[in-house]
Amino acid sequence: MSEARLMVEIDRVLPAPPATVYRALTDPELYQRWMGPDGSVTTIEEMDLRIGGRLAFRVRLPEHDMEFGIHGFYEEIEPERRLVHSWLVEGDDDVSTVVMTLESVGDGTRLSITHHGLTSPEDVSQNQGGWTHQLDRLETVLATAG
Amino acid sequence: MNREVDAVFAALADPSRRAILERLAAGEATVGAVAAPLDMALPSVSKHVKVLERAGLVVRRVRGREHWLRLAPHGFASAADWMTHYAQFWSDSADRLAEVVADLSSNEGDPHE
Repeated sequence: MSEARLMVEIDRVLPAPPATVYRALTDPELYQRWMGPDGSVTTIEEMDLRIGGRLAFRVRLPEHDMEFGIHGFYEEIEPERRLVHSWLVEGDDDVSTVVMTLESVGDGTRLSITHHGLTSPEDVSQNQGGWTHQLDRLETVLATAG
Repeated sequence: MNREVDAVFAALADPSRRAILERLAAGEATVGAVAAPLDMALPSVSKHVKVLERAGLVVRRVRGREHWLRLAPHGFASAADWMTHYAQFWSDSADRLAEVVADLSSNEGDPHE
């Protein structure tokens, strides 16, 4: 393989039913309130919720004096169940994919977010894998380097 | 190699410590939550956590009586460092989302809102 294809997966049970969670994922005003790391400020530029429709937003990190634009296109839309869109960071050539799935559990919703197809700019000799593989491989890298 | 890298390598050489890091890759957690799946006494877990802290891989925050652990954003070099950023990005986003939907739920439950 000539480039790394990596992924990040997270899983959370959220304290609201799937309909509410889905609304937070698809309403621009609500989306701005949660998208991005702690301390960030997100501004939606476009959220055209249909297959092939464009999602575009900017994330500002005042603490780090950083700002970046992210955009993508919706690939799968299943209300209250599944949302898939591409993910392209401004100034970067590599397209990755974000998959969000919702599942009703008790009074809440299990939300899984998988961000896959990530390419590490600094590491082009690795094969694909998740966090576990990353750790295993880091050991190898360090052992080799040592 | 420098001492920092030696410390990282030594920290990662243990399966329990890797399990702790994998747990923290999913988000901030208490020492107790990290210890639960390990089948290990709390003092042993604390020792492992200290090794990870010294290696700069894990950061501890004390909130009341609870000790919360999270991955250090700059703990890993190169590819893994970068992976940590995306893990953090989504972990933070999901935490924030949890607050937003909790707000929505409580407002929807109140007819005066």
